[in-house]
Amino acid sequence: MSHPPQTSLQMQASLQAHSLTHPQAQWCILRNHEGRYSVHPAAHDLPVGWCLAGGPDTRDACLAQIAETWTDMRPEALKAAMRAEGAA
Amino acid sequence: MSKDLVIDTSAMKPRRLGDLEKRIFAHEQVGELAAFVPEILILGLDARHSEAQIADALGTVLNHHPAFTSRFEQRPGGEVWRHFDGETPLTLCGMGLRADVRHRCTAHRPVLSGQMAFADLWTARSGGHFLALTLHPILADDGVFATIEAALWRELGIMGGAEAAPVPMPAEDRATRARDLSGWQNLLDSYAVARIPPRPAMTEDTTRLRVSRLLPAPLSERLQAAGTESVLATALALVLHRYTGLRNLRFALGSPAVSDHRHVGVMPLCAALDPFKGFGQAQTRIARAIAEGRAHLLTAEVLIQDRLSRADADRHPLGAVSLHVLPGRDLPEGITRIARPLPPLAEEVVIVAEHRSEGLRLIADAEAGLFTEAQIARLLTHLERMITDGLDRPEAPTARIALVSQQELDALSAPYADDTPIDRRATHEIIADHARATPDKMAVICGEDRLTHGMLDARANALAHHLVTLNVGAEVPVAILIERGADAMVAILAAMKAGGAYIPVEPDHPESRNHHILSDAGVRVVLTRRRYRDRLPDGLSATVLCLEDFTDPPRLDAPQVAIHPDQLAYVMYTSGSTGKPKGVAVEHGPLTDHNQTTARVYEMSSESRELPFLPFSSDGGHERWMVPLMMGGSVVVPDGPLWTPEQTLGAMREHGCNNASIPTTYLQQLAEWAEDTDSAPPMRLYSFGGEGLAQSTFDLLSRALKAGTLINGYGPTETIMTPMVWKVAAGTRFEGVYAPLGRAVGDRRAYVLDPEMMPCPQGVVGEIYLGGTGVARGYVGKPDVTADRFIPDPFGPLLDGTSGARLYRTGDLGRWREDGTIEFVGRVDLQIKVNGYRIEPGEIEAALLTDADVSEALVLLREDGAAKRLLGYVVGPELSAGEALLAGLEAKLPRHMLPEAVIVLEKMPTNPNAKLDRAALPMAPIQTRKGAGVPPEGEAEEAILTLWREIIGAPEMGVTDDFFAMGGKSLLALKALAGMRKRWPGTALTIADLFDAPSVRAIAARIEAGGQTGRSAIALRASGTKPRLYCFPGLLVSTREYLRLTDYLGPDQPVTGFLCHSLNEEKRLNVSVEEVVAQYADHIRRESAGQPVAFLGWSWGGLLAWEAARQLQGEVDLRLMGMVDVCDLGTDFMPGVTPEFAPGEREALAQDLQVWLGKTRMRAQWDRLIGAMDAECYDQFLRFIGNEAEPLPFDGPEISSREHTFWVLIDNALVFRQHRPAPLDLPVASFSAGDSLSRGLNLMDWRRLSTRATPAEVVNGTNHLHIIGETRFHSRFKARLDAAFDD
Repeated sequence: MSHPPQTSLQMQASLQAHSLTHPQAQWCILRNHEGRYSVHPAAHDLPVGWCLAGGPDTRDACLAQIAETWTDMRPEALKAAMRAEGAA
Repeated sequence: MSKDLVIDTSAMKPRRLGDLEKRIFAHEQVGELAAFVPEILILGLDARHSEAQIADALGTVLNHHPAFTSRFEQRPGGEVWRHFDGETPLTLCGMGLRADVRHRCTAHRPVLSGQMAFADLWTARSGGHFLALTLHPILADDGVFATIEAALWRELGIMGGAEAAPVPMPAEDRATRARDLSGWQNLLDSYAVARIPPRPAMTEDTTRLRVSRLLPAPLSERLQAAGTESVLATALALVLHRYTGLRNLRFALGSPAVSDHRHVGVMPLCAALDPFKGFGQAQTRIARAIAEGRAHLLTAEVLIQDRLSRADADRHPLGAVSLHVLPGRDLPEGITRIARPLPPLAEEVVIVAEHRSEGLRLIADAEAGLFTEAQIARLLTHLERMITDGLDRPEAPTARIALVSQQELDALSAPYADDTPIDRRATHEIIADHARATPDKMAVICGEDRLTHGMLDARANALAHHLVTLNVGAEVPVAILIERGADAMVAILAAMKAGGAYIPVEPDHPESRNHHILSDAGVRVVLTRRRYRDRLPDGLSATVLCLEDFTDPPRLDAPQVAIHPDQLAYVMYTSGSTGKPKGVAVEHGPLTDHNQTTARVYEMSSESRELPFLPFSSDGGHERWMVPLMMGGSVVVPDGPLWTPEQTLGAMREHGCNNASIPTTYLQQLAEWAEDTDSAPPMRLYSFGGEGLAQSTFDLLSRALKAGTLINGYGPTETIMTPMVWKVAAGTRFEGVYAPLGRAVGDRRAYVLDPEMMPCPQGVVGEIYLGGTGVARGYVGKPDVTADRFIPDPFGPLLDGTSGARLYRTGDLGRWREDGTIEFVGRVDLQIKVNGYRIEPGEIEAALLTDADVSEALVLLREDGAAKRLLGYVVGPELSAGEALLAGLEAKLPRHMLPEAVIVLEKMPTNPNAKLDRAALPMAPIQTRKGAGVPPEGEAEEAILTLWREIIGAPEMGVTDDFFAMGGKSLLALKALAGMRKRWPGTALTIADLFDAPSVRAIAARIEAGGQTGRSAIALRASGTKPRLYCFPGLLVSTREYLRLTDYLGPDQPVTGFLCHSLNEEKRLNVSVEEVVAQYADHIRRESAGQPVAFLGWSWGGLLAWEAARQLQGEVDLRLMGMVDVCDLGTDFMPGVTPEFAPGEREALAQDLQVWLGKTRMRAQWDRLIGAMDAECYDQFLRFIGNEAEPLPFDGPEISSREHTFWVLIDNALVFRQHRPAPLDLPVASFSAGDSLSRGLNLMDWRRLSTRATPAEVVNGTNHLHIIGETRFHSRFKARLDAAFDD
C-alpha cells in the first residue's frame, strides 16, 4: 500500500505537534544578509531578513551542521571591506 | 413551557436542610455570611400591566413559592428544619426612580431570625412598574429566581420566559455518590489548582475589585453559536495554562440549576491541555470534561470537605478561579431585567458571563489584596484574544495565540527613549576628540598616576603605531595582561587605534584560565609587564611586549587606520558555571552605540568624574571608564582590587567624584560604613549591578549614600556591557523580590518570552531575551554555540522594521512589571517543576531572606530515592528555627511553593574549589531528625528506645533525643504512652510526663522513681512581656497543637497550654465541666491573679475556657477570649432530644450492645459509663451506635485505639451534656474554619452569650482540625490579641 504524499499542510501540522523544548521538535537553519547563521522553529514563519539554509531537523542536528558550515564568523560587509583593503 | 416550575408549597412538608443551605445557615450562625450576599432581582414592567394586576399575580407567587413561604426552625442540638408556612408581605413603595429601587434593595438586610425576603413594588415615572425582590441567600440564587420569574409570567397570563434547562443533580443513592466521589478524588489528585499570578506585594486586603467588558456583538454571536460555556471554559483553561505552565489544571465552573431551592454551586473543571493542538480540539475535550463532570455531579460542599480533610489541601480546593455562564433567560415583551444576582464571589477571581442584547458581558471580580485592576482587565483581554483567535483558526496550535498585542509588546520591550543621532565613530576615536579639544583636562587618576586627555591619547598613539608594525590590524586579537589602571587603559586604546581587538586578561586570575584565553582566541600580541612574563604559557606563538621595554615618545597622531563598524573591538571571556570560559566577540559599531546611549541615560558630561570599582575582567568595568572619557570627563581608578569602604569614600571625597559604579555586594558594605560613620561624600549618581538587590538593601543605599539617582544595571556579556538599566530617584519603592532590571538601553529591546517564543503578559515568568543591534557577534570559534544562543529576531521586523536582526537568549528568568520594566526571577536552568507547577527557587529564597536572621538561602529540588523533595537551606538563624521559618513562608508563598522543610545550617557546605557542594547538603532537618544516637543503658532505656524508634520511625534515635523533635506527633505520643503503660502498669504516665521528660533517658528515670507529674498545665513559652495566653484543649489533643501558634506569636508572648482531661488517667465518672475546669482555674489563679490574661479555646476547649472565665470572674483581667471553631454539643446527646427508632430497632440495638459488652476487654469501663446514663441518655447512646457505619470496636483499652477514643467521646458527651454556658460580658473574638461552615456544624454563636462578641472571622481552606496550625488563623488571632492588649 502506498502512502499519499504529505501535503505541506499536513507537514505543518506534524511539525507543530511538539513544544519547542521537545527533543524531536523540528528546526531549520537560517542565514541572514550578514552571513550569520542560526536555528529557527520549522513551524514558525521565517523572520524578515533571514533565509532558509538547511533543515528541517532536530535542533541539535541543525547546530551540528552550522558548526561545520559557519567557519568564518565575520559579517559579510566586513569580509568585503577587508578584501578591498587587502587588494588596495 | 415553564409551568412545571411553579411549586405550590402549601402542602410541602418540613424538611432538613440541604448541603448548601446548611452551610449558609452556619455562616449566618457565626455572624459572617462571607461570599453569600442578599440575592436581588429587579424587574421593569411596562405600562401594559396595571398595579393591581401585578400585585395580584405577585401575591399568588408570594403565597406559594417556597422562597417566600419558608421559615427555619433550629431544634435542640442544632439541627435545622425548613418549614413552608411563613409569609412575605408585598410592600407598595409608590413613585420611584431606578436609583431609589436599588438604594432600597441594598438597604434591606434579610435575616433568618426575622424578615428573610422583601418584595417591593414601585411605580415608575414612565408609567410602568419596578418589582424588586431581595432574598436571604439561603432562599434564592439566580436559578431560584428563574422559577420565580416563570411563576410570575404565568400568574400575569403572559407567554415567555425560558425553557427550563435540564438540571444536573447529584445522584440520589449512596453507592453512586460514593463512586462519584472516588472518581472525583482521582481526578482532582492529578489536576493542579491554577492561579493567576498575584501581584508581587500581596496584602491581606479582603475587599474585591471588579472589571467588566462587553464583547463585540459579532464575536458574541459566534461564541453563542459555538457554545458559550465550552468556548469560555476552553479559553480560560488555555489562558491559565499560559499564566502557569500547567497542562493539567483545574478551575471551578458554575453549575447553574433551575430549582425552587438553592443548591450545588460549582464543580471543579479538570482540563488536560495540549497547547500544540488547535482550539477546536481543546474545546471538544473541555466540553466532554464538563459533560462528564455534570453526569457525576456532587455538591461542592461534599468535594470541598473531602479535599480539606488532607493537610496539604489548597485554600480553594475546587479552583482558585471560577467561571460562571449565566444561562440565557428570555423575557416576555414589555419586561426588562434590571438586576440579576451574581454567583457567590468566593474564589480569588470569579468570572461571570451573561449574554445580553448588546453582546456577551464579562465580569471579572477579584480579591483586591492579590490583584490590581489592570491585571484583571488584562485577564479579560487575554480571554477575548484567545476566543477570537481560537474561533478564527480552530486548527492552529493554541500555543501560538498571542496574548500580548503588537502595540503592547512595542511598549513593554521599548528601550529608554533617546532620539539623539548616533556618532558613527568608534569609541576610541570619540575619546581622542577630547585630546584635541581639552588636552590639559584630567582624564585618569590612579594611585600616583595622572593622565590628562592629551597625555592619554599621545601615549596610546605611540603604542598603537608600534602595534601596527607588529601587524596588528582588523580582527587581530591583542591580549592586555596588565592590572587595572592607567597603563591598561593606554594599552587598550592603543590596541583599538591599531585596528585590533583587545582581550583583557587579569594577571591575578588562575593561570589555567589565562592560558586558555591566550590560546583560544588566537592572540597575536600580548601587552604586559615584565613581572607578569612568567605567567604566560610556554610555547605561546604571540609577540610579547612589556611596557617597560617600550620607550617610544608620545605622539599626537594616531595610525591612519579605518575602523569598520563590523570590526572586532574586544573579546571578553565569560566565566560560565560549567566548561571553559567562552570568548564573547564584540564589534565596534554596537559598542560605540552602546557607550553613547549609556552616557545619555546616565546623564554624563565633561564634568563627570567617576569612580569605577568594577574589575577589568567584566565588560561593565570597561564601560565605566570609556563612557566618562568619551564625554570628556575623567575617572578615578582604584589602584588595587581591595579598597576598604573608608578608602573608597575617601578617594571620592578627595578627588571630587560625582558618580561611582560599584558591584552590588561591595556597595552594601560601602553604604553600611557610610551610614555608621556618616561619611558619604556628595555624589550625583551610583550605579551598580551583578546581584539581585532586595528592597532593604536598596533602602540602605538610598539612605546612607545620599546620591540623588541610583542605577541598577544588568546584562550578560553577550549583549554588551549593561544593555538594561533601572534608573530611579533614591528612595524609590519597588513591589517585588529584587530591584527591577529596568528596560533596554540604546538600539535594543528586552523581551520576556515563554518556551514557545511567545511574549509573556506582565507578571508571567518567562525567559529574558535581548535583541537589536546591541548584541555581540558571538562566541569566538564556536559557531554552533553562537547559533544556539543568538537566534533570529521575529519581533524586530514588526516593531522596528529591522531585517536579519538577532535575539540573545539570556538563560535568565524574569517578568514584565506593570510599568514595563523587567524583574529578575532566577535562572532557567534552576527552574524546577513540582506537581506540574513551575517553581523558581529564587523566589522562595528571596522570601526566606526577608527574615532578618537569614543571611544565606538556597532552595533545591533533591532526589531522595524515588521521591523528589523541595528543600530550603538557610544560614544564620538558630538551628532550631527551621519550623518557624517554614511557618513564616506560608504567609508569603502559595502552597505549591512551600518547601517540605527548611533546614538551618551553620554554613553552606563547599567543595575544595570553594563552590557549593550540593551533595553534602543534608536531606532533612538535622536538628530534628538525625539525633545524637546515644545508645541505651539498662533494660528500661532499651525497652523504651525500641518502642519509640518503632513508633516514630527513627531507627537512628538515641536515648537523649527529644521525642517531639524527632518527629513524634500527638497521636504518636499517645501510642508511646500506651506502650510504656503496658510495660509498667503500675506507673500512670501522662502526656505531661512526656512533655516534661521528652527523652528516653529522662522518662526512664521518671519511671524508675515511680513518679508522675500530675500536672495539668504546660508552659509552651514560659516568659515574655505580654499578658499570658492560656490555651484550652479540644477533645483528645495534647497541647502540642498550640506550638506553631506559640511560635507565631513571638518571644514576647508567654503561653500556657492545659492538658486534655481525657488524657488524664485518673478518671472519675460523672465529673462535671465545672470540676474539670476548677483545676485549670486554680492554676491560672496561682499564676496570674490580678493580671491581664487572654484565653484561647479550640473546639470543646472553648466551652472550658468560657467556664474558666466564669470561675475567675473578678480575679483576672481577661482581655480576650479567642474561640476557635467551637461547636455546641450536637443533637446526639442533647438533653431533651428523644431519639427515634424504627419498630424493633431499639431492642435489636440493645441486644447488639449486650453481645459486644460480653466480648470487649473494656467491659468494666463501659459498664461504669453506661451505668451513669439516665434513660434518655441510654436511648441516645443506642441511637448513636445505630447511626455508626462501623461495627463497635474491640481494640481497647490502649490509648489511641479506636475503642478508647470512642469511650472518651461518650465520656465527654456525658460531661458536656449537662453543661450550658451562661451569658458573660466578655470580649470574644471567634474564628470558624471554612470547612466547618460548609459542613453546617453547630458552631457556637457567642453573640448570644456576650454583647462584646464580634461575628466570627472565617478562615477558608481549612477544617476543624487543621485551623489551629494555620498561619492565616495565627495572623488574625495575633491582630486581635495585639488590639486587646493595647487597650
